[in-house]
Amino acid sequence: MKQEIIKALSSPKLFAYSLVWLMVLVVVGTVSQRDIGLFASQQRYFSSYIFLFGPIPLPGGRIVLTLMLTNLISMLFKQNLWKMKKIGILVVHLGGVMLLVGAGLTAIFSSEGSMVIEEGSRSNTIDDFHNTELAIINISEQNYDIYTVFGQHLFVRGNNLRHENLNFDITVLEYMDNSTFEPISGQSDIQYRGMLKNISLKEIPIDKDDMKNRPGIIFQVSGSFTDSDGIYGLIFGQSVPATLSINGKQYVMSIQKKKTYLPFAIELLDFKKVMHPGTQVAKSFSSRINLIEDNVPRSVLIEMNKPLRHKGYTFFQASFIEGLDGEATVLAAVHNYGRLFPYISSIIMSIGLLLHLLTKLPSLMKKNKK
Amino acid sequence: MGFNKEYFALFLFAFIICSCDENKHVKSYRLPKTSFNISKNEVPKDIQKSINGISWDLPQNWVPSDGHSMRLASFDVPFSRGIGDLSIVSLGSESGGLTANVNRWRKQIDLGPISESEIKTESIVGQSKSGSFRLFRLINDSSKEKAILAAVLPMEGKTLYIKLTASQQGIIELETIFTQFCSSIDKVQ
Repeated sequence: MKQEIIKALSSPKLFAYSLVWLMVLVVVGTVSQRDIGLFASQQRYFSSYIFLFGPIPLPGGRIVLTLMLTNLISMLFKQNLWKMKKIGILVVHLGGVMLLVGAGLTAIFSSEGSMVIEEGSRSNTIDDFHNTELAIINISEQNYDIYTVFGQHLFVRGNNLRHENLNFDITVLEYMDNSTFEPISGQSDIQYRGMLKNISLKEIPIDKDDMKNRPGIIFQVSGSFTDSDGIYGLIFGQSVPATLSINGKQYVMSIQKKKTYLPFAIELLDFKKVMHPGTQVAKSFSSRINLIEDNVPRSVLIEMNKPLRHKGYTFFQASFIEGLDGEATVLAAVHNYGRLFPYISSIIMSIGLLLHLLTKLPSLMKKNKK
Repeated sequence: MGFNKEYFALFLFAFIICSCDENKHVKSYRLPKTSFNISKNEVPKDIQKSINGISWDLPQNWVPSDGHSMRLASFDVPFSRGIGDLSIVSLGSESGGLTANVNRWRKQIDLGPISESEIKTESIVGQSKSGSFRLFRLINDSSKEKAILAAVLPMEGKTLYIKLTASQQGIIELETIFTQFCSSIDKVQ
């Protein structure tokens, strides 16, 4: 039984069919980018386990890659592979396993976001490009603020968000990937609070460029048994957040891009851009920054093809904002745990192919002599 | 059936792969005190009636939004098919000048620069509570998605630059309310 399962899972046919399906996904995903945008296409075809093609469920990129990884691992359990003359094939398979494990680590744990820093100021926060979160901030303490943050995957209609820090309940009523304001029509008996008293939120179609989408959330606060109980709405980019005052504690509520706080800070000393002569098209831009760790600054220059790598983070010069009184740099920040895997696995697979050639060389030479 | 290490390893691997997703986490942490914009009333119609010695009458459905530090204030301005971005910037009276700023706005919608006399001809003069302002409607026919309504209002020792960016349709819809907003601007005594 065990051998049969290994045989089925390690079948080269399974790998070949998976590879063909992966090619189909690449073609479909690339074509659909035009209509639904890069991020949505990536999520639908490559970052999903299953996607729907009309009413038919089809395997997404994650399930196909997991199947390929299982196939390669199962292959390693085959007894006849563990022989000296097949060492090349074995090493190639190990390289393949490593490549797919690296891809898995990247898919699951990696994050990418942006850091906007104005000249003369510093930041230690990365805002995720895509994921949002609901932050409830207790600002009653004198020396610090207490953040309780709920991730986007919890924003399911009817879901209760609770935490020991909060002496009230939050029930998600509606989450919108892209939303806008809508004037209120007529009076309502519903106990709206905050900005919903004057204006309502409505969902609008998702923009192809995910950065243009403004997530919105409508939720109910209950259980405080004060005037603060009621229905609140938040939209991304709202500079004046909703507030709550419950039992002497004051809270600020905000929907924001998922924030990552770094163990170091970056201070922008100077931003420079060079234009193509006689045009208004930027040729290159660079940021002279101070990397501040343990209060010790270190001067670094980040250029378009010369990112800063520090503590697993890579900061690329992505863009800039030009204001009337100064400039701000936009750094794309990537934290990729699987960054080195493609390099290492490529080397391993190359060594495997070389070993395979060397082990086959004597028999090839014999054939030639005959 | 006895304990099988290979099956267990495979199951564990599949379990780890499928259960990893840090977005599901609820996080809690402490940070040094931050200044939130909560001293102002959160209800839009009452928000930011005045700031830095300048006051205005804010239309009911305009909502303060994130700008950046160079802006005195930013608002989301809804219209029938979208939302416009309004920014108010205060600069010293010497900063940039009318021609440079209007041509910078024109460049943002791919229009070429024009001379100071053309700028003055193309603008409409309006009257606010603290003096007259120049109103510009900048539309590029080949770019329906982005157009600009802007006003330049000289005040004592500074100039206010009020800019509304929206689609062409939005600009047409919002021109009246934008003009009313600019007309309501006053100095706080």
